Amino acid sequence: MSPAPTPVDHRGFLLVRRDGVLWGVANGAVEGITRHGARFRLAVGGTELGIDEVVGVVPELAVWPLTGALRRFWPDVAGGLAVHAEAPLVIVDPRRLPRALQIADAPESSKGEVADAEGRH
Amino acid sequence: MAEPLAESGRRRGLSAGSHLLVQAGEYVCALPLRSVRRVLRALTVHPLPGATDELKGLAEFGGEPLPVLELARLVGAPPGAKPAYPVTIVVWVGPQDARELVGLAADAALEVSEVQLTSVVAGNGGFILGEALVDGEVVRVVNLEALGGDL
Repeated sequence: MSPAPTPVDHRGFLLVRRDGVLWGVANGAVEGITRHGARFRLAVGGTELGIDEVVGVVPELAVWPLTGALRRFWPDVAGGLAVHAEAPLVIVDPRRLPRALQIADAPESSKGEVADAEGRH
Repeated sequence: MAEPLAESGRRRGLSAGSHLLVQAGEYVCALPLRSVRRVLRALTVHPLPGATDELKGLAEFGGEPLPVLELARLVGAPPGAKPAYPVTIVVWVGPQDARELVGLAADAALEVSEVQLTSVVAGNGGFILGEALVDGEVVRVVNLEALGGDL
């Protein structure tokens, strides 16, 4: 990616995986994590997102903006791209949540154990 | 560290018409050598949900995220035999003042050859600038500038 990355965010990022894709969410944007059986729901921007796995928390990431070539062939939205442990990941923009993480059928009644991004219950 | 192809090409006296020929499905495509940054054994690609067929996914290159496009899909090439040594060609795309890096997944890097742009005919106005004859074989000259930037 040729554009320069944005300054490092020292608040850290929660890394999650869905359908094999690694996503990063700024810790400050995470409102809670709810376990649903073997999977999780992540509350961000007042909405629950479906995730398969909580990978961990990283203290910082350099975030590159989405480039024109990527936007041309990937119609979803994101806050940028990054790399962690040699794996590329997509940064969630809490103001514009990606369709790829949204839950097709998200009943409000089936919430389980809740924790925030740092594991507090 | 390997030397960028375009820089080594300048030192060897390659001209602005120098192109890297690559196999993409049943097509041979020509990429302007000045836009080629690196040729690598095929990078590990992580598919993105909802992407079009042209986008294979994201890879890591030099510590940075890199979108990887399927060259055969971009140029509409019929699929070829399963490649023995697939490659990722890291290229600059888009206009000069807003260029960006992408990876092009191809079946093989073949050779560097001269393609005179005055001999290129029948462009489709999209990612194929046109066709030219190189050593008696038709090659598709790829318009990398058209790949970048906003729609």
